[in-house]
Amino acid sequence: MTKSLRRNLKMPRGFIECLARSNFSFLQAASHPEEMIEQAIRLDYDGIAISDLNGLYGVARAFQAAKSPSLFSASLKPKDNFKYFFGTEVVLTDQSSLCLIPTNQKSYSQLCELLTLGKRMSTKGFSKLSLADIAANADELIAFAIPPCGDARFLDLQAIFGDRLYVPVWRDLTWESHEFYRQALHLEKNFGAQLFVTQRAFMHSASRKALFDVLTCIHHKCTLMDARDKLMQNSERYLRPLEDLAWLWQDRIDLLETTLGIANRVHFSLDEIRYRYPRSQLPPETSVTNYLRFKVDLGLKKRFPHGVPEKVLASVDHEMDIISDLQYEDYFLTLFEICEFADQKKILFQGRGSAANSVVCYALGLTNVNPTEIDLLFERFISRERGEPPDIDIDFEHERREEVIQHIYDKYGEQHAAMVCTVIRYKSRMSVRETAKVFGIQLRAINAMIQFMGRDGVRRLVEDPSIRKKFGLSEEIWPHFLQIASELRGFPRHLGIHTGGFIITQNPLSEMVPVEKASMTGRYVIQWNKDDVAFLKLMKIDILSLGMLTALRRCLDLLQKHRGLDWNLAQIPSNDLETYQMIRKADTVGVFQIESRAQMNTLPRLAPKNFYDLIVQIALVRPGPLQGGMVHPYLRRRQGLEQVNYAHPDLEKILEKTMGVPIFQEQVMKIAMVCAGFTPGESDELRRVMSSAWRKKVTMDGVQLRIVSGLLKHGISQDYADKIYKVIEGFANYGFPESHSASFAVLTYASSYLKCHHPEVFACALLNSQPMGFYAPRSLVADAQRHGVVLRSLDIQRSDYEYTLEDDALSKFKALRVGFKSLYGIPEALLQVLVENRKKNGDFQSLADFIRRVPLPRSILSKLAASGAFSCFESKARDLIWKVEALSLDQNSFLWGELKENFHESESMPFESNWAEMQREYASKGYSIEHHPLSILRPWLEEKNEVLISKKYLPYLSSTQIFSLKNKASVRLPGLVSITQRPPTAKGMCFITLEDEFGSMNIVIPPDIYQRDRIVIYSKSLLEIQGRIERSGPILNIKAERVLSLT
Amino acid sequence: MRILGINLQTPQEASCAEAFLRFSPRVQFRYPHFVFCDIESTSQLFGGEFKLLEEALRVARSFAQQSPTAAIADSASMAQVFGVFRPSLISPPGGDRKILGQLPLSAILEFEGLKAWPQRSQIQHIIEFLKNLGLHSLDETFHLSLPSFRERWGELGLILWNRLHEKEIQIVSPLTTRDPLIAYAYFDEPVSLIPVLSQRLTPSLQNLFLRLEGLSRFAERLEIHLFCEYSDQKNSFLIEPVSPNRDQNLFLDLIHKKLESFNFENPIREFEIEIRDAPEKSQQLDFFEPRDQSQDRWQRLISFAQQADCKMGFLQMEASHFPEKSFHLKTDWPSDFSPKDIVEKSEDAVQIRSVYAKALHQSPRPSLLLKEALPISKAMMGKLKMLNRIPTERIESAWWEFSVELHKSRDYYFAALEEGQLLWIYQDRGSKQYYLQGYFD
Repeated sequence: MTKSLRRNLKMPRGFIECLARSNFSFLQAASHPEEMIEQAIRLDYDGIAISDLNGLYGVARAFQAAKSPSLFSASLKPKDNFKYFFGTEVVLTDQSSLCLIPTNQKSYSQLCELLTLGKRMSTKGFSKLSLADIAANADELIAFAIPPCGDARFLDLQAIFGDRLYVPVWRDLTWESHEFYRQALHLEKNFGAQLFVTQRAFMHSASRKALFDVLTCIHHKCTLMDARDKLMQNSERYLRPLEDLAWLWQDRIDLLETTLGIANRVHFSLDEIRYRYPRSQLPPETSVTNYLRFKVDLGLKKRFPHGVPEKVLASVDHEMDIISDLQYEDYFLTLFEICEFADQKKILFQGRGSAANSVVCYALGLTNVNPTEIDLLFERFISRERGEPPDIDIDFEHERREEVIQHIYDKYGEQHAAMVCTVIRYKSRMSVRETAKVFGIQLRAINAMIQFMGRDGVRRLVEDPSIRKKFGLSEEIWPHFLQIASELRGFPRHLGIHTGGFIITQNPLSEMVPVEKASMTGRYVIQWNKDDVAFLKLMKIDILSLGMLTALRRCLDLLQKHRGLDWNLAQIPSNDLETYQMIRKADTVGVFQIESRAQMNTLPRLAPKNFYDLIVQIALVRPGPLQGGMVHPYLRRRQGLEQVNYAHPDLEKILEKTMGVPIFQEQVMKIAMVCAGFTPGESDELRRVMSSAWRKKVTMDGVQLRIVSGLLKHGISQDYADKIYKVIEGFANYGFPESHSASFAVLTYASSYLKCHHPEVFACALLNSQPMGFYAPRSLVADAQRHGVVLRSLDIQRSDYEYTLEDDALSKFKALRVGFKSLYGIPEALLQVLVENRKKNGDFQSLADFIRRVPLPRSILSKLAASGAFSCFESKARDLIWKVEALSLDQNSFLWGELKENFHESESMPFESNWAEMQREYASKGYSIEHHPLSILRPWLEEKNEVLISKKYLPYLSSTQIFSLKNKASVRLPGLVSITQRPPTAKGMCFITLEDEFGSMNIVIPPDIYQRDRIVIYSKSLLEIQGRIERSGPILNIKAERVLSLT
Repeated sequence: MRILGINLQTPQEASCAEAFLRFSPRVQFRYPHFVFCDIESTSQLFGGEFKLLEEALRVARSFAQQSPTAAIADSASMAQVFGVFRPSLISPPGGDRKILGQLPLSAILEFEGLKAWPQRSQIQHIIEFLKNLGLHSLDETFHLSLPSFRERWGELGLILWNRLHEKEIQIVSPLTTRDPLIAYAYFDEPVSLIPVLSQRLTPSLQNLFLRLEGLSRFAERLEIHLFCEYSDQKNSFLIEPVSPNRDQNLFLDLIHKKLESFNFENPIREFEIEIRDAPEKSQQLDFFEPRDQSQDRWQRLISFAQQADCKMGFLQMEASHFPEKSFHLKTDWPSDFSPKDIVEKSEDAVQIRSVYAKALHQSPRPSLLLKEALPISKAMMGKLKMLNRIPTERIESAWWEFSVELHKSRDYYFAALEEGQLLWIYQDRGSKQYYLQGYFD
């Protein structure tokens, strides 16, 4: 456009883009909602409306960008009168399209109900709405008749919408848009159609055309070369500068201004959604506040039978004031009702997260941490200033969570309760794979590329441009490919179900947000994820599951049955010295949260002495402190090897509790506020960034810039500022706030206490709760045996389906009887029949009696025989297996259950060695009670040792012998692999826990050794490790130099 | 009885057995990939069992994607087992059992010959069972009695015991079945280069010719169908040499030449070759076969046009939207002339995949389109009357085509000469230069 042309250009009074899409149209648009909003602001539009396809998936994000953009990543602020509204483009069953815009609360509810109607009964990705459905629910909706729109269709729509019907026109320099405009002029002339200008924008900038083409190809499952007419002929579907628009529409400037009129008709904003929590059923003439207080007081009496401390009462008063002011009473009472149901059903539960900051939650039994004991701040949970709804996550026993979910559906109905969705996005690998397919790259090259990327993502491909040669890609294609793959990363792909996020409402949910069918049968999800729900200040509850709660419930049941101890979690004796001694020795196999290899390595150094130490321990070994390099400074200070100092005097108050080292999320936030000058708004966004698994690079860059510069300005060194940022980055991967860690510490202590004092009960409960936790049953059984628990083998006459405890006169512990549950490949129902029959009709008299009473297929009988369960009938397992195969199982035969008529017992079976017996037991249930593989191999290893010693080579040692060796001593160790780990934070190191008949050993494999010997590491169970002792205080590791197969 | 057992490793059509008829008339195929030949009376013709085995493996290699294996034994079941566990073994007559005894228990799975195990899971069960008893090799089972086997596994136990003790007789019958000479293949990675395509066709053709050789027949005519990826476009052609023969190279050359004349719209994903065969003697060709379908007539018309050095076909849109590159001649009969959005239905619900440039077909195009646009001088531009204020269309080149030096974009206008001739001109958005692209009637 020439300067003179620009000078003479007639500009519109204003313009609002009314028909734009975001990438929440799933593969049919190429910009994030935030990008669309920011671009509209940048181009000085008066507003923008986002109308995605068949849903309101991205509207909350766009709303956030328009009203309160990120303080870290947003490059500009919206002007005060910037108008954001939204709608949706629905595809009707007659294949025509219509855009619907809500103008007020009522029409918004109508729109949500319409979308729910179209989605609730349809397959994922499809929509089932007819014009008749819309006609019945369109009282105050504005409609845009998306072209092509002939006379008949226009008149039909005009009859439904009247003056709320508009016809969009655009000039994207295609002949098609020209034709549509001609059609629209005809409608205007003959029927008085109201036209308005849009850009029908699918991207915020023309530079996204390449990505849009790639998305189109992914949608059509074709390559770029084959896409042909599927691709747009130019890049004109983007948000243009106003001058360009004015130039395009000089002949009809009025059509640009019509958009202002449309926007003026919209009087609805997402923050007007009136959310009502289900009203609780109250006793007559009682207010909801009084009723909540009554329940809290009742709870306090139970928690403090000897009188409620003043401090607690004061906290309750304070909290109740805030709860009442913010009208959250129903929310607490709803949660209380759900937990009461769980309590009645004897389902163990416990609140986690920031709810542990609340005494009210503690009194109601939602959490088990008394926040006054460890100075947790209630405002971290609910604050008047923040005005955000409380977020309470409650864990239930993993095997029984479904009962709680079903209770919620039964009580509130599907119309009032649904789960929050999770937006599944393109991650690095998927974006590279899909882009590569569209570029027509051969599958073999794609796989090689993905393998090369590993966990580093696209970054690794970018760092080394020469790598393209390895995949056979040209120099021209490579940068385009990488750019598009990077842009695609983070784009929404489809919706999933959140693990446990529920939203419950008083009014039908579909009036508030569209609800659609999830992939899981009988489940429905709303179109917003947890961040959207939080931003719109809707209250959700998280019904989560935790395997350890199942195990603890079983423990408590067993204690009641066998020891007469009727405990709940709160009644487990606290501050037990022996328990802490056990923890300090890292004897924590099976214990909640501190059983991993990294935790075990830290325990002797941190040496927890009380409950708060446990809270620190749990939060310490996490990516946040690990990446920020905070673990070792804390441990050194704890051991007195390093002086406690503070990078700045202001940090002293914040980090006092953790010896000057930031460990908890709250501490990092406080540092940001006090030392980096973060505003409450910035601090709140920082909290969201830290607790979100999905964050944008631009946001993290903004956080880094803001925090580092803030800290430097405050006089804190660059080095320390960088460390603080690293911690924030790590927290975003996975970090704990103090309250969350405190909730978990309750379970850690409980499980430790039970393991310490009742190892048989603990082992029994853990084995019955499998699969869960870190260790396989084999390791749990071996650990129990090391703690003096006697294991009794599987027996058809004694065993139940689950592991059980039996009296043992020779031991202070009960004996643990292996249950049928341990067997591989036998359906539970069959085993339950077996156990019930025995309980009802008494012991089995013979194998024939068993077969007659419990008709099982021969394959199952053979498995039972191989497992040794029939040892009461025949001590030699092999003879029994031979016999079982020849039994008559024909119920009509006289020989039913007996051996066949001409049975040849003369055949002799080979002798079963200990090794063969052990192998048979491993094959049937994964472990052997009698023999550890290493105990059988030991004599053979001793023989080999003689040869090795004579040749002056290192002999094989056991796990007990290595403790007496000096640091850096060379060793040769045989063992069975218990756990192999290669955590992403360990820079390529591999960790193996190796066990022998006496105990376990920690093997550290450096990256180069791992790369060389990885095939042996992953393909063999019995290993020989050659390496050196590495001592660090009480910790003993073996640094491997060579990994070999033992057998 | 001396049996050659060949394990082709990957599933094959039963017709592949025809290729082995050259070694013996008694040939039998067993699903999925075993061929057995009774070579008792024919091995001498090949210079002994060793040479026959080598020759058989050579033939087998052209069928098998993985290396085929073979063995010679006294029975088909032994030949199969040895083929798997002792490849290329020629067991001495009467010596099968001794070798068998050294094999592991898992060899029972392969102990089939002409009669496959009815249920391999049952055999697997027997193997597991015997392993549970601590047995490891087959000779450890030899002492177990027939009643023990029968008691435990009934009829199956009986068959197994008989096979272990060489009591079962399996007769290889003469091969009488005759399957059509058709080969089909599906490419996991579609092919777009003619030399690669020729290379991929070669093994199938080779197999067909091996079958022809086994059957002592000649190829009279080849019919080849190639299917494109995504579009499923079918490209068919015939190869008819002057007289029937079995000269594989000749046929390959003819195919290659034919392929070079094709312009496939997409890479080739699958193909089918059918041979019409004739006895090993020359035969008068039938020139007057009836052809009913319009597609056939269309194909014939194209052939005539090609003979006259004329190109004809339907216009097919190309990846680039530039007018001079937008279309190519598609010789296949089109299934649909106007592109539409792709609509998927699930019960009453719909999902639409938009075809964004579907209207490009309806955009006005000049009756005479210049293949290479002519630059218009400034003086000439002054004489032209522009009929649009803004471009009627903006067309961009395919950004992923890196042979084009820069990503190009053009704005198209209608213009008129003083004489009234209507022109289609465009301005290159980079250089701002105007070009003449075509004339309207």
